[in-house]
Amino acid sequence: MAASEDLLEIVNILNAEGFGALAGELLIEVNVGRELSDDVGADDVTEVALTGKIVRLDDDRNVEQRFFDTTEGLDASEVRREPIPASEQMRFAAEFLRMKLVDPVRAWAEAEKMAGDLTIELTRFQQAGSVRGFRSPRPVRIEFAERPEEGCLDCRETPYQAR
Amino acid sequence: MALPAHIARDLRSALRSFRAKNSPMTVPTSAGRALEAWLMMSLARAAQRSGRWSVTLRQGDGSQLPLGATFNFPTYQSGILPSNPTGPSFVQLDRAVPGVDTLALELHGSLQWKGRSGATHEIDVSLLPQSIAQPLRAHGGHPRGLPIAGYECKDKIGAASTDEMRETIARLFDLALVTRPYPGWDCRMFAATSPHVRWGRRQSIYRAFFATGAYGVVRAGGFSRGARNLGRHYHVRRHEGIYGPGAIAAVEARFLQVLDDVDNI
Repeated sequence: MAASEDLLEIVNILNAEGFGALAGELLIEVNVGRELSDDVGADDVTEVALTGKIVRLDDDRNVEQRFFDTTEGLDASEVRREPIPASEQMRFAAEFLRMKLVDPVRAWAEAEKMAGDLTIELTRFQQAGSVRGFRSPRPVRIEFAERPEEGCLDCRETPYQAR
Repeated sequence: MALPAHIARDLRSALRSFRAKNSPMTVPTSAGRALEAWLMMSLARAAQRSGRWSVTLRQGDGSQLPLGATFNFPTYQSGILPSNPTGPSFVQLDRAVPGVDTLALELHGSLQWKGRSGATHEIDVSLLPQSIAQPLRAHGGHPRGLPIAGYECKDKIGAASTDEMRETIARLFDLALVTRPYPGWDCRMFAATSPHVRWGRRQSIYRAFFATGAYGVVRAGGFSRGARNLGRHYHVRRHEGIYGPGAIAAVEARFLQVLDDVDNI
């Protein structure tokens, strides 16, 4: 893969600002690239190629039959890829940074807001008939949980013979 | 072409600001915890909005989360820990349908389940009945069997490889109790407590087990052709581009279907 000059500069900035893992992932994603268009959206190819046999979940023989009826020559797990071309690497990097930085922050904020809404529902439920006025939902702060001292969970379970 | 100076300057400034303003949970090296928390709360909200479930946030000892308290999202892999209010929080779903038996379910993050092999498997977001979780909270332990719903969250933006889907399916295979855990036991999951507790129905084949729950890989990116085919065959849904418009709605829809049919699982 030939990395474009602007992509390398973004990688250097990410690395210098303490986002080295992100810089590495960006380079990997550019190199791994994308599936060739013939393979993208192939979710239904096998379905189309099948002969329409009814698959009953209680009979694995039909599932096997379904497998052998697949008429395609291409191995289902065979994937052809191409690296992101240099001319598109800048746009790819911008999209990458949006999905890795902006979207998770938005998701986290929304999760805290949803948790707040659920807490308010709880309050109304608990105090049915006694709530006066409208309480503005406040986000619930979601934090890392420290691992409490727990000992060995396995030691506390009764024996079970795996089969 | 070199990066224009003003873009380089803005990017540096944005990165510094990002690190200063946001918790370590949302920075990219934290293995997608933001996605897990968002998924968990989205499913909880969908259940609440259905009108058929009353949803509450719970502390690690099972008590209701007080107003103003923090929701402790686990960042480590563990089974259900001994009752402790500072332990991992979870979401409780209580069925609120007149004329239908009451039922309490629990939605957990990063919960480890134990497979038939004895290996433990972390599931990023999983749903299990309280009748299994509660006895485990007495002393701690791992739920065994196949959860009612289980999701793997990946914040990777590239297309998922076939290997990634294989990992998910391998976990489900080890968890499915196709063979009876004890003579005469036909169940979907159980808690190896004293006395043993069991719940749900057993299926005779793996695919039937997987078809009667909600399982999926939830990704910021997409899926390769091989991952799609593998997942489709084993009823593991492929939820791609999850931050895109409408993508989370598909996850919620299947989750609600399974909740509605939970008595037949």
